[in-house]
Formats: sequence, C-alpha cells, structure tokens
Amino acid sequence: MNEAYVTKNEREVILNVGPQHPATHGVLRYVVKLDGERIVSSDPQVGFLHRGIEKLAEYMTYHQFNPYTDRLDYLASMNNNLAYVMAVEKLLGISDKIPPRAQYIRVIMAELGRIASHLVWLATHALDIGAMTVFLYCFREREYIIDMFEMACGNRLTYNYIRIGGVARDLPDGFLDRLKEFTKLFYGKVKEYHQLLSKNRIWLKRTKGVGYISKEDAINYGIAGPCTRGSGVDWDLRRDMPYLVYPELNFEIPVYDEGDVYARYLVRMEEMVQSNRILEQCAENIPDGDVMVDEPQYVWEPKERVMTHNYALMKHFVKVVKGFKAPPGEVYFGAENPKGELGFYIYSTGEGKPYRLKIRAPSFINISAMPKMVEGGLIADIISVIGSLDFVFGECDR
Amino acid sequence: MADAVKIKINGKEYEAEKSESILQVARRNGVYIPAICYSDRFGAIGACRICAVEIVGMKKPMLSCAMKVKDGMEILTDSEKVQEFRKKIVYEWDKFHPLQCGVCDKSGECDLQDINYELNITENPSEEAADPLTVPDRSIHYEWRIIHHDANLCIQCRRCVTICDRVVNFGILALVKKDWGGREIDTKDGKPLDCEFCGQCVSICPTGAMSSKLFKYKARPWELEKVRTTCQFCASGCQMDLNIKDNAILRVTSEDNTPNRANLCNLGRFNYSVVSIKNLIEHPTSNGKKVSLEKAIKEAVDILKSCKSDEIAAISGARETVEEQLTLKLFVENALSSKNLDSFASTHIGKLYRVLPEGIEPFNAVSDMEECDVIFAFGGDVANEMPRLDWQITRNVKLLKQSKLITAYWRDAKIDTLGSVALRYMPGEEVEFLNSLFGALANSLGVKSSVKGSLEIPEDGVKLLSEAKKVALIVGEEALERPYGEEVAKALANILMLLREKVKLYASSKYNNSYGVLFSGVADGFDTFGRRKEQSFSLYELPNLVKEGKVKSVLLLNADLFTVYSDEDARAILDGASVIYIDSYLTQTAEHARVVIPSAPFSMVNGHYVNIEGRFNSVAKALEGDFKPASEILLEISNQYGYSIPTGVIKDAISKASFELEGVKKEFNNVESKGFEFGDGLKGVLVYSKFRSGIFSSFGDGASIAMNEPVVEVNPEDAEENGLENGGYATVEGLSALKLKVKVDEKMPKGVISVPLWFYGYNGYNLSGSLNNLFSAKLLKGE
Repeated sequence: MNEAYVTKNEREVILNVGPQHPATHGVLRYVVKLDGERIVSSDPQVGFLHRGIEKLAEYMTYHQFNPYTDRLDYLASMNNNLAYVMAVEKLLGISDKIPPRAQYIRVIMAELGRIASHLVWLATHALDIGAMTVFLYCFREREYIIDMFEMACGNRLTYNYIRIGGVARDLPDGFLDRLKEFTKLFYGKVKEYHQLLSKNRIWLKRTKGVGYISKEDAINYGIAGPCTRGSGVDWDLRRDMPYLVYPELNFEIPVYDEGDVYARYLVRMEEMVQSNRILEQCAENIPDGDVMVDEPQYVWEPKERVMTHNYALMKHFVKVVKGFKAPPGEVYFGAENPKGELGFYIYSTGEGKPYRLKIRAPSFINISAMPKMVEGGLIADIISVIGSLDFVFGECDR
Repeated sequence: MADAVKIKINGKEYEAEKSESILQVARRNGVYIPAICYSDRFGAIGACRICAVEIVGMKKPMLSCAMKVKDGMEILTDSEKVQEFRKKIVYEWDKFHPLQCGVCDKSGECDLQDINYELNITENPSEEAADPLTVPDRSIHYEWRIIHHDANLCIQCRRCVTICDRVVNFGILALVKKDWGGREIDTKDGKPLDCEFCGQCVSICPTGAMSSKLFKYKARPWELEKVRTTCQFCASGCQMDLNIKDNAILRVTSEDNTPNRANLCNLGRFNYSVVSIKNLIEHPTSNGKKVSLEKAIKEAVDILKSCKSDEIAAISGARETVEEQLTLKLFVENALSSKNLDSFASTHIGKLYRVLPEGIEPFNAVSDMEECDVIFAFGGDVANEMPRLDWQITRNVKLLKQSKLITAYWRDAKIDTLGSVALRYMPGEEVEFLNSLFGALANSLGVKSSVKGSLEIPEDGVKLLSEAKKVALIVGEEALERPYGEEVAKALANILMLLREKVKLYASSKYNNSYGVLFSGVADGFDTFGRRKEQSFSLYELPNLVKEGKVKSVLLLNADLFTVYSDEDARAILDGASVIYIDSYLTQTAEHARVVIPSAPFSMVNGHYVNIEGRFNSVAKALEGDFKPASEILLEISNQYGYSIPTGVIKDAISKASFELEGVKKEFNNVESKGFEFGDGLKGVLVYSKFRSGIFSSFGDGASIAMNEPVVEVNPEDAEENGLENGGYATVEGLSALKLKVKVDEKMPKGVISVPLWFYGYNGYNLSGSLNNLFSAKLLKGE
C-alpha cells in the first residue's frame, strides 16, 4: 500500500464489539479505537436493555415493585430484593424490628446468592478465555444452590423470597440440612477451581497485569465491590456499614493490591470461601421465632388471619389496592451485592407509591471504568476485562 | 385578603381567610385531616366527626369541617387525644359492620377500609363488649331500581342524604327511624325509591351501602381501567371515566377535579350499555340485505353519482365528533358541490345563534354562573333538558345562596322548588311573553323601544332583572323548537341586547355535539369556525322536497329521522329518496334506509365534542371493535366519488379549536307576535324527559330501567273531567293517537298536557307533526 496514503491518523481503526457478542454478557456495544492490536481509546455504549424500571416504580405500590428488582441482577435476585426491601424498611422505620430468624434467613439467602453469582462469573470468565472445564464444574455447584432457592421460594430464576418486614415464609423442612451439606462440600470445590486456573500458564498470561486500575482511579470512578478490593481498597459494606446480623458473624474481607484482572479473580475466589464460612455460622446459630415483623400497617399478614379477622381483611385490601402509606421523607440504603454496592434511593411524599426511586446499579458504574482499564492494552484484553468486571445488563440498563 | 388571619397548624403558620374552615385551610396547604362526610361537592355536614382536631386551649376536640378559623388559633391535627377520639368513632362504625369485604363491591376504594387502615385498628373493644344477639336487623332494599341499598353497611355519614338534597335538589333520602329502634337511610315516604336515578348517592357513598345494581358483582375496582372521556348524552360535556374490563364498559365514574364536580346524571352514569353490541348495527346492508362494507360504499357512491348535486341532501344528527362533521362538510360542499346540508342543531340552538346580537359572549363556562346574582331560566324545564345546568343553579341558589332565581315557563318545574320568582305563560305565548318582558324591562331600564307585548309581567321579576349585576340567561331547547322558534330567538335577541354585557348565555341542547355542528358549519346558516353564511337549506323543508321529487338522495350521518320527524314524514323520506344512513345504533331509520353503513359508536372513536361552554372536550377510544369511524367511511366514499378530502384542513381546524362567531349588528327586532292556534281541546306540549336524549338512549339499561314508558302528565281537574286515574292509561289524540300511561300532576296548568319525546315506539311527533312540539289534544280513557 502507498506509504503516503496510510497517514498517521488512518492507522487507527474503529471497531464495534457487540452488541451481539458472546463475551459481552448481554448487550454491550463496545466501541474501540485500535492502532493495530493496541487499544487507543474505547467507549462502552449501554442501554439496549433499558426497561424504565425506575419510572415503573413510581406507578407501583412498594410491595408490587419487589419482584421487579429480581430483574435487575438476575443472577442474584434475592440480593436485589434484600437491598430494596431494606431501603423500604429504613423508610418505614422498622429496620431494627425485623425478627432475628428473618435476619439470619436473609443473610443465608444473600450469601448463597453471592456464591451462585460468583460461580456464574467464574464459569463464564474462564469460558471466555478458553477454559471450558471450569464452566461445567461451576454450574454443577450452582445447581445445588438453585435447588435450595427452589425449596425456599419455588423458583429457579427470579427467586423472590424476601418481603418487606421479613421473609415470605419460614424455611422449608430439610433446608438447613441441605445447607450444611453444601457448606461442608464447597471448600473442596473451590480448591478444584484453584487447581484448574490459579497456576495455569495461559490463565496467568491472560490475566496478570491486564486491565490495571489504580487504587486512586478505582475510588474516583466510584466502582465498588470485588473490583475495588482488587485494587487495594479495603471496603465492604457488610463490615463497614453493617446491616442485618453481619456484625455477629466472623468473616474476612479479601483485599489484593495488584489492581489487575488476576487480583480481582483472587478476590472473588476468596469471597466464595468467606461466604461459605458465613453460611456455616448461620446454619449453626439460626434462632427460632417469627420470620415477619408485626407491623400490620405495612407488611402482609398471614393468609389465615386475613381470612378470619375483619380488620386484617380491611387492611389487606388497602395494602393491595392503594399500597401502604409510607411516611414522607427520603432514604438511601446500599447493600453489598456480588457485583458491588447496590443502592436504592427512595423519595416518598406519603403516598402509597414512591415519588421517585433511584437505583445505584454497580454494574453500570463498574462499566464506566472499563475504558481506563483497557487503554493501551491489546484487543484480546477486552474479553478478560469484561469477565473480571462481572456485570449484568439487567442491572446496568435497568 | 381583607379578612386575613394567621393560624398555626401542627406548629407551622398559615394564612387563611376568616370565612374558611380549618379543614379547607389544611387541605389547601397539604395538611392531611381525615374526613368521611365532608366533600367539596357540597361542603360540611358534621355527621362523621372524624375530622375532629385539637385546638390548643379547648378541652374537647372540635370538628374542623364546620369550625371557622380565628386569628391566632393553634391546631393539632394528629395529637394522641385526637387519635383516641377518632378511634372511638371508628370502633362504633365497625361494631356491627358485616365481615363482607371479600364480596363487597366497594372493597379497595372504601373509605371505611381506608380509615381503619390509617388508624391502624386491629382490635375493637366496642365490638368485643357488644352482645352478638343485639345485632340490629337492618333492611336491605332489594326492591329499589338501579340503586341497591344495604343499611347494614351504612355508617350514617349522611353523605347521600346531603348530596340528594343540596346538589341534586331531589331530597328523597333521609335518616328514618325504624322498628328495630335505630335509624337508617331510606326514602322519606318509605316507598321504593322513585327518583331521578342519577346515582349521585352511589358515587358519594363511603362504604358499600349504596351501590349500583348494574355494576354489582361485575368486577373489583382495581381490575378496572379508567378512560377519561366526554359524555354522549347532552351538550353539557360532563367529563367522566369509563371503567373498562375485558373490552366492556362496566360502570362510569367521575372525579372531583372535573368541571362537572364528579356529578353525573342518570344517562351519563348508568346508560353506558347503549354501546353494547346488541344495540349496534353490526353489518352494512343494502335494501335490507347484508352486504360487505366495500359493496355498501360502492352502492352509496353509485347513488350519489346518479343524482345531480342539488338533488342530494345531507343531514347530521349532531351526535358525531367534530372531526366527522368536518369530513361531512368537506365532502358535501366540495365533492358533491351541494348546498343542501343541515343538522338537527338547527331545530333549536341554530335558530338562536343565527340572530345572536353583537357584543354578547356566545359561550360561558357553566361554573361561571356562580358570578351571577340573578339566574333567569326561560322556556324549558332545565332539570329535564340539562341536569348539569339544573345542579349548577341548585349550587348557586341552595348551597352558596348567592343567586336569585327567575323562571319563565308554562308550568312549575323542579327548579322552582328552590324558591323562585315564577313568571308564567301558556304554551304558544312565548313570543308574546318575551315581547311583554322586553317592554317592561326596557321601561324600567329607561330604554326607548317600540317593542311591546300584551301580557302582564309581575313587577318583582322585572325589578330583579333590571337591578341585577350579572344575569345568567338559560334558554330552554323546548321554546326554540316551537314551530315559530325563529321568532322566539329574535325576541330573545332583543332581551340579550337590552342586558348586554350583564348577561351570560346558556342555551341547552339535548344533542351532545350540537355546538360542534355550529363550529364545523354543518348547520344551516353557519360556515366552518361558526362563521356566518347565507341560509341555503333547512331540514324543515326536506319532507316536502322529497315528496316533490326535488331531492332524490339523502345522506344521513347519525341522523335518525324519527328523532325530529313524524313517522309519516320519516317514512316518506325513506321511501321517496335513496337514503344512505351512516350510524352506529340500530334505530328505525336503519331498518328502512336503502344503504346502511355502521360506524364506530361513542367509546370506539377518538375525537372531540363541543359543549355548551364552547369547550372542545376530547372523546377517547376505550373499546376495541370492528367498526370504522364515520370519518373514515366518508373519506372512502369521497375517494371513490373522485375527490380526496384534505384531512390536514380538518386537523388544523380542530387544533385551532376556537369559534369565529360574530354577532349580528342590529337594532331591536320588531318581532311578529306569532303563536300557535290550538283547537278547542287541550293544549298538548311535547317535552323532554331527563331519561332520554335521542331515541337511541332508550336502548341503555340505565334509562330504560329508570323509565321504561312515557307518561302523559295531566292536571288533576282535567284528569277528573276525562275520567283518568294516576297510573291508568289514556289515548292522546293529536294528528294521530298514542296510548300512554297517565300521571296526574298538580303542577300542570289546567288545560295543558305534556307528552315526553324520544321513547322508542312512541313518536311524539305523530301527534304534532314533524319539527313541532305543540298540538291540540284530546284525552280518551284507554284500557
């Protein structure tokens, strides 16, 4: 080709990765400017899965909106339920009245959700880079967890079990036994994953030193969860802004300073182990008692009571049709989700429906740091960085 | 604010006017105070006591709905004392309230449920203390029509009593002492409910005690989708919500923030079933045979092509949307180049607006009637012609007590029960009366004019009118529909000119879009935007033109001929000319027309109606159906005829949505004192029923259950002379005879009988002849 023709500017090529691309884990259109195989700059374009969930919330009672949160991060539905429900409870001022058993159940569900979500992350992350076997291993263990979710709430996807004021019903018989069985087994499984990947030469080449983000940048971009903990930020809401019964439980927050894909990989691997520890403790310590707070103005009362008590029935109708009247005010609650901090901001004017509901979606914010991570890297790094950020578009585009 | 005071509510300072109640000030500022019996529709009752608030310095909680504000008042709306007080009241309400929420229609929109929820009541000490054997045996009124009353569910807030009395001005309901020792809501005379059946009591009832039988057990409130639209039964333009489930209208409601203040009459609230499929034309027909739509349109085009342009006439029924009217106008004038276009609106308001003097505001908002200190209702029974006007008058006179009422009519009507200065004339003397009134009024105002009449006008009426600051002049449709209606309109124009800027004009009309007809220029003498035009064709001439063979084809848009013509004339038109009939309802005209094309009925079209206020109200499509709107049908006919209607022009006109109606510059008219020559017999008058608006309204359940057959109203003396009994039957003879039920009414003047119009199968015009509402009558006792 004519030398003069290929000017400096025209060395750069713009490439669209996605929105239909297997490694985008959804519908991300990633526009990259390439100089050869090097990435000059890049721009993530989101919104293909936008459903207007925040706007929908303004037309729904607080109870009605609960299942919609399942559709945010659909790999960890119950974690979303939990964050939303805790925000509403904060608004209602009943956060500290939640019965201990319900709190323990919520922690169990949250940590199971975290493990399930991380297993999908590991499976797909490894698959993207070329390690097929890990995928099958991870989904094998995830099946255990999904079965437990099915026991508790009947669903294998969009598992919705946590309600305003507690949980929908008590744990089914045999659940805790299954849980204990799982926790005993799971340590060994994590070891298997380590054996397959952690010292694998290909894996190390594709992940070490790739997708670097410094501690300062991680904070500036506001990214959260395992992604920041891989850059040396020692921050976890379960420990630093505690909720539920986390203060009573022993667990560690894994932190790595390297800031690359491999560090984030190690953080999540370690987190699964810590979650398993939490589950062990919960399965041992869970107390007996109610699973729903006694606040008939706000929470669903048991069906038997509604059908036999006039006043319960009257209230039930009001709660169903008009929604409960939350006190006017605004609240924010953030929970440590598998993907990072999932926050719900609710503005209430005292009506049965929120005036405004804003979701701080960790996936969305984590994606924003992606151009920083891949800048100067190779085009193939995009795939491993996408894997390491672990985003879900249900949540990002909401 | 002259009487401004400062009060504190819950520690926060607010400004208020002395005349306001605490509840009003609180609500205006967004401070919530629960209230069951209070409603903006009629003000305070003081029955429920739930709106009690604590006033610092007073021992007992005070009722905020009744208590006026005073300077420096400190009010607590939510203190513990007040909450306890409120709870005790609710305990009493709940005490014997049946456990029926699961099956009660009101569940989900019930004020009692809400208040229980709000006060977070879980136990009821009053109920626990009560002996179950003392549960009172309250009555359930299964025998009432349309409205179902279950006294067990009642909390005795007296909302229904108050709305019936202060808003509807019917006052049939009361708290009545019963055998079991307590009181319950019932009719004053204890007989089964026989009233206007407007259902205002149903709409205002906080619990399920008053409910609609037509809606009962059909759906739960939260299943219903509400579609805001405009009522199709008269030109009031009441805004209402069609409650839709499974593509059917199950009930009609209205909100407090509508211009009609959530008030709806019997037709609006209960007659929604006219649009059910059994009342609609389902298939196009040609010569009585079912054909496809394409074929029907082709045949219509062939008929139109076979006639010369002046052999074609088109008539609009003033019920279709403005869009459809404009399409008709463009088609007839541009495609057919025919000037023979008229509408049913020409039978009444067309006559008045053609001679409307310059400087008179043609349209006024109904709520602006509140500015008027005198209301002058002329020429019709407002309550029957337009309930919304009736209720606005009631509000002015009875509730706000700020207007005086003058009525000019040939009988005492419902509005006279408000207390009125009654000016009376006999049917047929309208012009003479107006001339006399004009003379007296001109004299008292010091205006020189030669117009005079021979009737004596009581002085108090003249005095009130001449001293009034603002006069609401309500013109009845009935007076304008007299055969000499044009003279009545001219005589009215004189009075309007005399009162000038003092007057607010309201001309009632039973046709929902008769004002749209003036806007779209379909009525004789009007062009688009209500501009004036030479008169060219009147529907009064049509029967003769057809009989003479001058008109060979008639295009009818929603114009059921039997609505204005006698059977004889209507049949003459249907047989003598090729009639192309576009309508939704299965009327008699549809049975006999040459080509019938079904169009989408109300609730299946989008568009606009123009109401008495000149306001363009939107009509929304709420139901799905296989019907094409009349505008599309006309477009198709026009296309095949060889002319494509510029739809942009129609859109532009609608988006402009304002009249360019200019008044006539003129001196006082010298009106010839025309009247009607009655024979020796009784004076027969055709009047409107509040349960009918057009013959098609007979098809709905609400109207037909409320009144299923017409009654001839007779003075007791006349009844005795002719040997008639209340409730018996009589044959009324005019040009032909009708057998009707008799109602003996003391309010009827001697020698006058009235027959209501538009009952299916009872065409009143058979007695009087087409487009005429006076006849000389004979009464014969019938079996």
